[in-house]
Amino acid sequence: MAKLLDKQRYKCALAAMQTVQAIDRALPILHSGPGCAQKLSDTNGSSGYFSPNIFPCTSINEKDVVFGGVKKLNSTIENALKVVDADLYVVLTGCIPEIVGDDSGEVVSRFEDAEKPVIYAPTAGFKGNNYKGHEQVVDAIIEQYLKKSDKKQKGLVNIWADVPYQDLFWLGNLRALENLVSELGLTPNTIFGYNRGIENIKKIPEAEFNLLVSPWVGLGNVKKMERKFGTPYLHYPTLPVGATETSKFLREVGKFAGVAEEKVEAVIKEHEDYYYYLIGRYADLFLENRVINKQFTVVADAQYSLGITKFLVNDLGLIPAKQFVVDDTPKNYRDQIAEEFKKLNYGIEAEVSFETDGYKIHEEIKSHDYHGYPLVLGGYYEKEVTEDLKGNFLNISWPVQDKIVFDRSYVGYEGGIRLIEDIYTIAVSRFN
Amino acid sequence: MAVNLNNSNVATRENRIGSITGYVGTLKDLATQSECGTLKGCSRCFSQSSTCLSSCALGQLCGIRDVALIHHGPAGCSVAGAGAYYMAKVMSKKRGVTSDTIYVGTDMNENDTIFGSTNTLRNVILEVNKRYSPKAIFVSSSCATGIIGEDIDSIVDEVRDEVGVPIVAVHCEGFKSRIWATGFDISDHAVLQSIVKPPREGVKTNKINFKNFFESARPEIIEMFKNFDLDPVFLYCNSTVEELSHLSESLATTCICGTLGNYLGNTLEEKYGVPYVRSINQCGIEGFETWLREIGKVTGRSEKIEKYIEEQRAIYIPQIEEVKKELKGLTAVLGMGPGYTFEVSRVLNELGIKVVWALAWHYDKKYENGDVPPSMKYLLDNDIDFEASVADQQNYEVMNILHKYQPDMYLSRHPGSTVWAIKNGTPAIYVADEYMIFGYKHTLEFAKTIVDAIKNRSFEENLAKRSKLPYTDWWYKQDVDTFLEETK
Amino acid sequence: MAYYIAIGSSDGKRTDLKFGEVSEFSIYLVEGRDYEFYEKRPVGDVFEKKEEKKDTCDTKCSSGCSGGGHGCGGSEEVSAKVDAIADCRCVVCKKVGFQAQKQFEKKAISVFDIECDIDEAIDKISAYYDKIDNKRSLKA
Repeated sequence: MAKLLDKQRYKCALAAMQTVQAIDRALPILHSGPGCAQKLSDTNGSSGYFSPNIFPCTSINEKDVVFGGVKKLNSTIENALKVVDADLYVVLTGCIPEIVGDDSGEVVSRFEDAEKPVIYAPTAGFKGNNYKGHEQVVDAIIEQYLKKSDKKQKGLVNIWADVPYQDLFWLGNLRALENLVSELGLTPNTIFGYNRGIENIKKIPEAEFNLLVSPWVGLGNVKKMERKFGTPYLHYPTLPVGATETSKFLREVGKFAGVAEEKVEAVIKEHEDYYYYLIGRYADLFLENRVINKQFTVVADAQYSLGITKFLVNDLGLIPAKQFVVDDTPKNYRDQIAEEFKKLNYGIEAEVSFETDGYKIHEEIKSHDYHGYPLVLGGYYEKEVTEDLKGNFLNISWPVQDKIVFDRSYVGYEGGIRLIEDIYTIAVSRFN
Repeated sequence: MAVNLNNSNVATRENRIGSITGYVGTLKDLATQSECGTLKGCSRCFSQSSTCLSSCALGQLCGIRDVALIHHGPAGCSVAGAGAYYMAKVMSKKRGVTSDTIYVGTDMNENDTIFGSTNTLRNVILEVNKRYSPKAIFVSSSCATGIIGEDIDSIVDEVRDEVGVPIVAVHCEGFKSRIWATGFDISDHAVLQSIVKPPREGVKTNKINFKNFFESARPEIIEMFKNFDLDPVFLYCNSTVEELSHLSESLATTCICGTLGNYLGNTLEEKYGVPYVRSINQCGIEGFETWLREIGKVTGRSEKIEKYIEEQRAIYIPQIEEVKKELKGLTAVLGMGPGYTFEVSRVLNELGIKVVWALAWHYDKKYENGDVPPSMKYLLDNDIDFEASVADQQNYEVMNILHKYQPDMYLSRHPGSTVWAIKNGTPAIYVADEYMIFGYKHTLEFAKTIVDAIKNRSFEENLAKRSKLPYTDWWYKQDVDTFLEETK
Repeated sequence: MAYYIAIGSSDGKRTDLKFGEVSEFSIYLVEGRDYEFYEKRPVGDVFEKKEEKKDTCDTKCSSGCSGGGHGCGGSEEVSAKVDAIADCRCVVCKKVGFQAQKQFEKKAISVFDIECDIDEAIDKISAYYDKIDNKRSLKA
C-alpha cells in the first residue's frame, strides 16, 4: 500500500543500478524513462569507469507505452554491446515496461550467445525499494550467469554485506570484512569494488560457504545459492563495529569454518591489545567532556542501527534511547531483528521501531528525555532536529549531505576507532 | 501561442515550441533551418540515460519557501525529496531566512498498480497539510501513476476546500517528453495556475521579475538595479507564495536562461501585459549590454542604463582585453542546455576562443512567441559558425567529439559531464553557477578561470594517463551521428 | 466519445507508409473499442509538391540509422498534410518526420510511428485511449 513517505531514506528497486555499478566493469542497461538513472544516483563516488550518464537507456516514450518497448530494448542492448566496453551487461527494468507488460526477459534471452554475458533483473520501482532491488541483481547473477561447480576451493568464502552506494561506507566495509576473514587464514571473495568484478563472480560457486553480514539484506540470495550450488551459509546479522562485536564475529566465523581456536584467539588478542591502547589514551576525553551524554539514538537502516547500537552500548557503555530502522524491513524479518537489539551487555534491551515516516521519528526524538544533549547518528534529516535540541549529530546513513567517504569503514576494530573519532570530533568542536 | 491555465497539463515542450533532441550539422544549418521552420530532429536507435522532466519541474517548485510537494509514485521518483530538504535548509540559511518546504513521496507499491491508491493520496495530502501548514501544495504524478490512470486532478479538486491553501496538480509523467526542460514550463504552469493573481487595483511598483536558478549573484544585482530604481524579485529559489501571487504587478520579467524563463515570461506578458525582456542573455559583454538596454527600453530607464554601461566599461573592458591575450587561439567544445550553449559560444567568441563544436542538450527551434532564439540569431547575424549537434546529454557522442577534436577545453553545465572530458585529458570548466559569466565582472573572472584551467593540466593528465575510457575502439572510429535515425 | 484515426497504408492492411509517402490516408472511426473504416482521404496536391522538392534534399536524408541529420522538405507540404487530417486524434505511419510530429502535437494529435497490421494498431491505440479517458490502468 502507498503511504506517506516523509523524509525518505531509500530509493526504488531500479536504484539497484548502483549495485551493478559497484561491480567493476559491469554495466546497467535501463529499460526505463530517460531520467531514472540520474535521479537515482548520488555524487558519492559514482564517476568511476561507468557513471550514470554512461548507462544505456531505452528512454521510454508514449509510443513505447502503447506498442511496447521490446524493439527499442533489443536495439539498445545490441548497440550497448558494440559501443560500451563492459564485462557484464545487466538489463534493469523500470515501472513502465512492467506495467504495460513488455517481455524484457525474452528480449534479454536473445543475447544468450552474445560475446559478453547479458542478464536481466526486474526492478520496477513499485516492486520494492533499493534493498530489494539489490537482492534482485544478485539473484539475477546467481540464476542467469552462474552454474553449479563441482570444484570447491578450500577456504574460499563469499562475503556479502549491505547495499553499495546506499551504504556510504560500502567499499571500506567490504574490504575490512575481507581483511578480518583473511586473518583467520581463509580466502575472502567479494564481487564489489576495485579489482573484484567478473573474475570473482565466477568463483562464487566454488566457495566453501557464504558469509552474510547483514540483518536481512541478502538472506534470500544466500539461501538461493544454498539450493543451487549447495553452498552452506553463515548469517551474521550484526555489522561488527568495534572490539566486542568484532571479536565475537571472528570467533563465530572461525568456528563455522573450522579454524583452530588458538589461531582465532591470537588474531583477536593482537587487535584488542592495540584497540585498547588507543582507547586508553583517549578515555579521559570520553569521560571528561561536557557534551556527550549516555543516551543515544540511531536512525538508519537495519545494518547500521543494529551495528552501531551494539557498539555504543557494549564498547562505549552508552545507553540506547529508542532506535529507528528506516529501510522498510520486510515484516517477516522484523521480530528476529528486534530480538538482536535485546542482546546487549548487562541485560540492556534497546527498543526499536521500524518506521519510515521521518516526521514521527523526529517527534519521538523531540519528546525523549536524553538526560542532557542527545547524541543522534542518522541521515541528514536528523541534523536540524538534533541541533535544535543542542545535541550532537553524525551523518552515517542515507541521505548524506555533509561529508564524503572514499573508502573509510566503520567495520572491525579499526572501524570502531574511526566511528569514535567521528563522534568525538563533533564533541570537541564545541565546549558545552 | 495561447496558454490555457485552466488545464493542469502543460503540453510538452516538443509539442508546443518544436524542440529537438537529435541533430548533427553546423550551427548555420541548424539556425537557418530553424528560421524557415524546416528543421527535423532525429531519433536515436541507441541512447544513454539523461534527465527526467520531473527533476526540472519539482526542482524549481521546491525552491519556493514553506510549500509542500507531494510526489505520487514509487520511492525512486520522490528520491529528490532528500536533495530538496538539503537545499531548503542551506539556501534559506544563506539568504538569512527559513524554509520549511517539504517534499514527500507516497511509496507506491505493486498493490497500488493493481488497485489504485487515490484514497491514500487524499489522506497523504491532508496529513501533510496538517503537519506542516504549507502555504501552497503541489501534487505531482509520475510515470507509474500516469499509466495506471490515477486521477490526481480530481483528488486535488476534492480536497481544495479542506486544505484552504493553493493546491494544484503537476503532471510529471516522464515518458511524455524527452526534453526535460519541459519541466521548467510545467513548474511555471503550476505557479501561474494556482498562485499568481491578477494585479491589484492601484498598486504601483518598481519590481522586476528575475527568473534564475540559485540566486548566487542576488546581492550584487540588487545593488546594480538600485542605479535604475528597479527592485528585482528572484524566482523561485527562496520565493514566498505571497511574492509569487503578485508577479503580475511587476514592470517586466527577465531571466538568466531562456529555457528556464520563457514560459513564465511569455504567459505573464500575454495574460497580464507584463513585458518579457527578450534578448541574448547576460553572459559576456555584448550579452550584458544588450540585456541591460532592453530592460531600459521596456521599463523606460534607458538613460540611467547608458550611464551605468559607460562607467562599468571604463573599469572592466581594459582588464578583459588584457586577459584575452592569453586566450587567443585556444579551442573549445561545449555541451550545455540550449539556454546556455549558444550564449556561451558567443562569449567564447568575444574572448577570442574558437568553438570547434557546440552541443546543445536540446534545441528550441522557436520560443513561445514564435521567434528564433535570440542567442542563435546573434551568432547568425555576426557570421559565427561551427559544428553543432543536439544531443540530449548523450555522453558517447560527446566523447567521440572530444576524442576527434582534442580541444583545449570542454565547458559544461550539467552534473556528471566534466569528468569524462578530464579522463580524455581535456581540461574541463564547469559552468554550473548561472552567474559564472554574468556581466563585466564575471566575464572577467570567467576569462581568468579559463587561463587558470589551461595553465595547470596536472589533474587531467594524471587521471587521463591512468583511466581507461568506457567505450570500445569501434565506437571512436564511427561518425558521431551513427545512431541518429532519420525519421522523415 | 468517437474519434478518427488517420493511417498511412499502401494496401489497407498494414501501416507501411512513411508519412512523406502517403498520398491518401485511410481514416477509421473509433468508438470505445469498436472501430470501422470511414473513408479514404486524398492529399494528392501535397504529394506532388514533395516530389518536386526532393532534389534539394541532402542525400543522406533517407539512409536510416546512419543519416546525416540534416533537414529537408519544406514545412508547407507538411502543414497541408497535417491540416488534411486535423480532425483526427492520432496518426499512424511507418515513420513520421520530426517536423510533422511537432505540428501534429501542436494540434494535440498523437503520432505513432510504427509498422504493423492496421487492426493491431487500432486495437492497441483504442485500448490505450479507452483506458486513459476512463482513468483506467494500462496494466497488462
